Amino acid sequence: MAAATDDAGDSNEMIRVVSSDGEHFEMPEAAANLSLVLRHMIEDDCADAAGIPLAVVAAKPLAKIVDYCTKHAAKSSGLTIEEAEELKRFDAEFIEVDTDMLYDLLVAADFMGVEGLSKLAVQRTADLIKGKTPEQNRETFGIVNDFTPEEEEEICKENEWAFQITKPPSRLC
Amino acid sequence: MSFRSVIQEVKGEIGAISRRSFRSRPHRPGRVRRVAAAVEPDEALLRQSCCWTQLPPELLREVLARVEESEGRWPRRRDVVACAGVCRSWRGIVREIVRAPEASGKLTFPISLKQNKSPRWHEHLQCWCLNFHGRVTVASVKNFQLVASDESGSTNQEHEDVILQFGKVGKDMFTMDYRYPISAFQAFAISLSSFDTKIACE
Repeated sequence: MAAATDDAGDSNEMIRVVSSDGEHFEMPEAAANLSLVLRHMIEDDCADAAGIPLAVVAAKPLAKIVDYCTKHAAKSSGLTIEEAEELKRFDAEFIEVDTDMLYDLLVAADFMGVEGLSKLAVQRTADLIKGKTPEQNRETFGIVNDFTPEEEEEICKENEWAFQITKPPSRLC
Repeated sequence: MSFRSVIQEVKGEIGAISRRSFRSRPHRPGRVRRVAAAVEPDEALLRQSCCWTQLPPELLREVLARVEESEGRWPRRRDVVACAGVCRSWRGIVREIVRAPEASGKLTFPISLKQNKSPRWHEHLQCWCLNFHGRVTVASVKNFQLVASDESGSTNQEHEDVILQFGKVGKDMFTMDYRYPISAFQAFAISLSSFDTKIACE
């Protein structure tokens, strides 16, 4: 566990990480430092050639997270207005993913402590929720309605007028 | 990889999902999933739809708090109400996040405004009576008072604050009294709507 111990602050160093399903990824140390978990591992000299194992992050989301961190680390300080806008556009495109990937990113970014990505994924999820009826939200996120018929009827009755403006009553719940 | 071993891998995978809060994917997700869908449609469906239900509560809270804080006004505010109607866990979290109208200055759940001050049956006059403190003089089913209720549904009616009252004082003449957090516009809109639906008769 001592292969990468010479200089923890050296941003040219490549850090290896391993997904839960055994795929290896590499990113600059500056990128890895955007993850609180990876930063602590690097500080504790746990970043060796075998790679830091991330037991709960699968390859697909991890590839995205490595992309995100690499991009943001390269543009971390002294941004011009154009660069800041470019980064914003990158974020907007980056988070245009299906709900499966969004879920994986949300959980993985939280687990790895990548603050910027966590916020991005939380905001994207909130944006997906907005403008939908309860039923549409259940469909979007694959959530099972676990209210009893009585509870549901009560909620429907309670909320009826809130949705009457644009939605027929049958879509309320 | 044999067909049987693919199925075993898929089944093992599904078992693993229910034990862990985070979902891992098989090495070749496309291929394995397709086989799963062909052989075990129910389990494949379960696998697809289960993940958001397993979202850790603290993350769900962050997401729903973001929805809550983004819109303070109607009709966009109904997004918050919609979240509370999705399932039990969403409802529980939304009800924790949303504060009472007096504290937040926001009207959220329709139920947080209620025609409550229920009228009392007056034995002597043989009619339903509601105290409008002299502001309403003509008996009418259109007369109503709205109180802000907390989640539990206050039991002591005497101590509830009337935040909107509306009632008849003459032919085609009404009085309207309102107070924070209801705005003049909201008060006027609610009062006007009573001509259409007769809140008191609900």
